Amino acid sequence: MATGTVVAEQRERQLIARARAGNTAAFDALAVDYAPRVYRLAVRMLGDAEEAEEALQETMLRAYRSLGKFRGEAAFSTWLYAITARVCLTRKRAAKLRPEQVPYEELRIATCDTAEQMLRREAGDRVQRALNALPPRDRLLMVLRFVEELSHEEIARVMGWSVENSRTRLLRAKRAFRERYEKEMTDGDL
Amino acid sequence: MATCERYEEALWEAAESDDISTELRRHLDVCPACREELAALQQAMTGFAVLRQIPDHVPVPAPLPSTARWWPRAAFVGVVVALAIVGIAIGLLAWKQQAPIVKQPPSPVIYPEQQEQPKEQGPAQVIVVEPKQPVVVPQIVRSAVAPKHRHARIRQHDAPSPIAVRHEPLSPEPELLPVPEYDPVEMLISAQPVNGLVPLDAVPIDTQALTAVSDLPLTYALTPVSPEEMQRLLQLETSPEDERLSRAETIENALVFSADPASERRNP
Repeated sequence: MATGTVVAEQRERQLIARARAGNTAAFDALAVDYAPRVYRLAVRMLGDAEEAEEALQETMLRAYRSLGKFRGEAAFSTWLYAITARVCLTRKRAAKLRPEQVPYEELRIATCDTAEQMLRREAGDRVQRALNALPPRDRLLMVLRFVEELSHEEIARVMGWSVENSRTRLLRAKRAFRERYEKEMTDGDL
Repeated sequence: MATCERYEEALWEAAESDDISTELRRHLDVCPACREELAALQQAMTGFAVLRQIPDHVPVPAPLPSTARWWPRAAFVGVVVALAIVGIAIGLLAWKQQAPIVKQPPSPVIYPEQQEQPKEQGPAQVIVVEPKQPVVVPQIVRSAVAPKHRHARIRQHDAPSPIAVRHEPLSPEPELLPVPEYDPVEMLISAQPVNGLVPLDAVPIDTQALTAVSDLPLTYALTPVSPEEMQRLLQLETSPEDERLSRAETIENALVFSADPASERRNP
């Protein structure tokens, strides 16, 4: 397992080096590797599959253009998340006046008809609705922390904040989420 | 139900990791609100776990050449536009330069009569033409720098006709003027124009011939004198000493010594 991780990291480092040297094929390989995670973040953030796809393309484009600025201090995924977060926040700001609609059918995972999976799917939908009701920045923090499972340090890097600042803001976002989630649960019971 | 703020973070961590610390466990035993909160958070974490799964359809990022390589295309378009602008500018300039030439009337022939007379003394080309001769082809016999006071005479004698200037022969057979034979001794003695006007300072000087004729300094020879005066000067050689000296002084006073640097050195 550890050997596989080392090999993967080595391959990633080589791809990054080649991409920085102008090899577009190497960057394409990186983009294919990271597309699922970027797309997931975009979908959870934007709540729309089409918009998430556009955000994915924009993120990769921006990443390629600013690849020279990547110094390797943070993980490539963190750097890519930061770009994705900015793209998503910009898109949310642009679509502020539009009503929030989450196409659940598109976001849903491969469906199974078992009772347990039905419950899981409902839990997922409820969380997604609670997230959608949050302000964009709080939503981003919650997605980074509980969907992408980034540490406080990584979140701080992505957002460009200090770790303490990141902890404080995340705590506020958790409280806001808890309120929304409580409301979703109450509405679901009704 | 209000949860205990002190255990808020611990509840989130416990929901995340399913690892409940001893202290929190003790608190949960005595706090039903926190127990309920932990249950809700665990349910939310299940929802997050669902969201963590990758959606069915993940779009493949577009290959970079179609999206990222925008700058070569932009550079190409820029170069093409710049070349087009430069081409149009050059074309307009060429058109503007050609347009007046097309509209210009043919340049008129300027005849010597229409030309302005020279105001300043300067190099003048002396064209010796016999006006009454049927031959009008100009023949340049000698070129020299004529002094100012001779300009008028030269113009009177040698103003060429327009036809001559244009080198258009009128007579069926143009004949060249006879070039006089060059005899420096005769020219020195006579000091008169042989054919038309010949500036004296244009005549080449044969100093050996001059010394053979007379012992007079070169300055005398260069000075235009009449044949009679020259004869008198020659007779001075045989006249008595006093008369010769007085005459020589008279002549010497009338002459210019500037043409003879040697004499200048002798008489500073």
